[in-house]
Amino acid sequence: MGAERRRAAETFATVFFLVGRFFPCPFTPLISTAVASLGAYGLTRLRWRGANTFSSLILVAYLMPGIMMLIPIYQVFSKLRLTNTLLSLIISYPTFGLPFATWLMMGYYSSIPTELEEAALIDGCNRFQAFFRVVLPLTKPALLAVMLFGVTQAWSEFLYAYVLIYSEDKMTIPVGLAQMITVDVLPWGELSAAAVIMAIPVLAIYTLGQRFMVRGLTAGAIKGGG
Amino acid sequence: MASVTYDHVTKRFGDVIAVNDLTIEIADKEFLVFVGPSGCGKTTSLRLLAGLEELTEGNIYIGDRLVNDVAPKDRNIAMVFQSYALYPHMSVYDNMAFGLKLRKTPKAEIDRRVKEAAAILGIEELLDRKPKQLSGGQRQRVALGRAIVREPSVFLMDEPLSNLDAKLRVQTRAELAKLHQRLETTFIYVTHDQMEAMTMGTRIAVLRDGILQQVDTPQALYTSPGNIFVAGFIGSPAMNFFDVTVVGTKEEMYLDGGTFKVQVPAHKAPPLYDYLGKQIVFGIRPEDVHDPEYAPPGIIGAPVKARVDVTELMGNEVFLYLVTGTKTFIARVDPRTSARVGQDFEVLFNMENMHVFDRDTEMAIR
Repeated sequence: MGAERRRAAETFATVFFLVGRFFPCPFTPLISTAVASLGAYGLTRLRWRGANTFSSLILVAYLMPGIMMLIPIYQVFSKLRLTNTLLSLIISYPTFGLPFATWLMMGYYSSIPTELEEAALIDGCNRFQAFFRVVLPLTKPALLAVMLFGVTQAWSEFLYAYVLIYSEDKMTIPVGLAQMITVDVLPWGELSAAAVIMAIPVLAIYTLGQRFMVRGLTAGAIKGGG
Repeated sequence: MASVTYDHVTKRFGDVIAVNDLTIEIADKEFLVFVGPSGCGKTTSLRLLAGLEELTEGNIYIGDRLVNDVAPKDRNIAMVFQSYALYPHMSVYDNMAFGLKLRKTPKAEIDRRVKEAAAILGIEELLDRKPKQLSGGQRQRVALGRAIVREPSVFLMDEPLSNLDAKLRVQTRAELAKLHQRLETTFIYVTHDQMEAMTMGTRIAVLRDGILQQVDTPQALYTSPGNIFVAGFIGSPAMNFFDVTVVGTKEEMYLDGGTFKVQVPAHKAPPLYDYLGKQIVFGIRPEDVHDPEYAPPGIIGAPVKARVDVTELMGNEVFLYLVTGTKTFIARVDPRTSARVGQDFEVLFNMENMHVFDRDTEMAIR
């Protein structure tokens, strides 16, 4: 009984140690949200040649499986000597998170009447002020949805973290979890405990933010929605 | 307070010409109404003045200042949108104060102006509410208030009453006219509703397919429309039109519509001398078609026989839908009329108020 308790304590200690490596989690959604909110605004609201083509290209990029970009990204990162750094994850995660975030934000902007910005422009705003003071506060649900997706994506991503990181002290939780399996030995108890602990933050985030998530995802779906 | 000048203004969206060579001078303190059917370029004209669209050709002046390349915020204008465009995340007070805050107006001054505008519009008790907690009429007032506090030199209004119910629209129409008198500022108002235009404007500009048809006072537009479009657009029910041939002599001239023949009063005949033997368009307003029994004394009435197709009792008057040959026309007659559906009925055209138009150019013959 004592040995089992000790083992359980060790497992939790290991998992909590891994939780400490959620380093990319706050950064990737921040980058995705900042770039997507500005980019999507430019694509939906500013009239410039090629905006429609660019929007379609973003959709194509979104449809492209992340695995297809893995080898080129690895090659680029190894030339830049970025492999085996957490920075490589911070930079690479938005490459497949950003198209989705941009697409979602574009849908949301389309649901905001242009008259609001025009009223702000007449009231005394320039484009940036109209964006930051009138449009952006109205996109809170979409911003939150984008952030939550970014966090959960970075939290649970396995493939890139597995390929780009190879020293144990930098591994993220999903990779760390996989490392618990040695050849054909599956420590079910530890794996299950670790999986539960890993799920807790995501569950908490979704429970708190689901209202906004749903609102963000259905944005622009119906007139007056969002 | 300022005058506004559109000088040969053209706006194209790709191949579509939304506004075509618009030239109009709007005097200081004037209430000018742009009116026309949807797609006629009236809203685009207003948006060009607001700086929300870029001109393709021409110049726009506010006062003496050329504003072609001036940002909307620097034009000293305020606009009320059809959808009101209130900022949903701000309270009524903040909505109204927003423009002043951006201009770094002192807090006390902002407070004074917002409260003053709220008092004028009767929305003092709504200042802490959010737009979604307001009714349509209240939102409309807040949108007006947001424009008033800015004390702009020109007010622009893009169909601000179209989202209100009929009763509130009539009430607000009168209040807007009163507001114009009180503020003594230039108002430029866009509507597709000719009734709104007639009741509020000091002058009305009628647009069609981006081209200005006529600018004049409501009364002049009504009594002397410049072409068939203006004649048909202004007035409700619309003017009746008939294809007729000018027959007879210079001394005794008639308009022959096939199933009817009406005499042209001698003093109305000279402009038609050149049209003798030719086809023209003859127009007569429904209120100038009378039931002989209740026709006002002294009118120059020309009798026309027709069959009563439909009658509509409006309370103080009756609309008769009459048919002569294959042509249907409307008469606005006394409610005591004896006309009944299916009956042959003789009406009198008041030829003193007849309108005649060239068939090809559609311009009024004067």
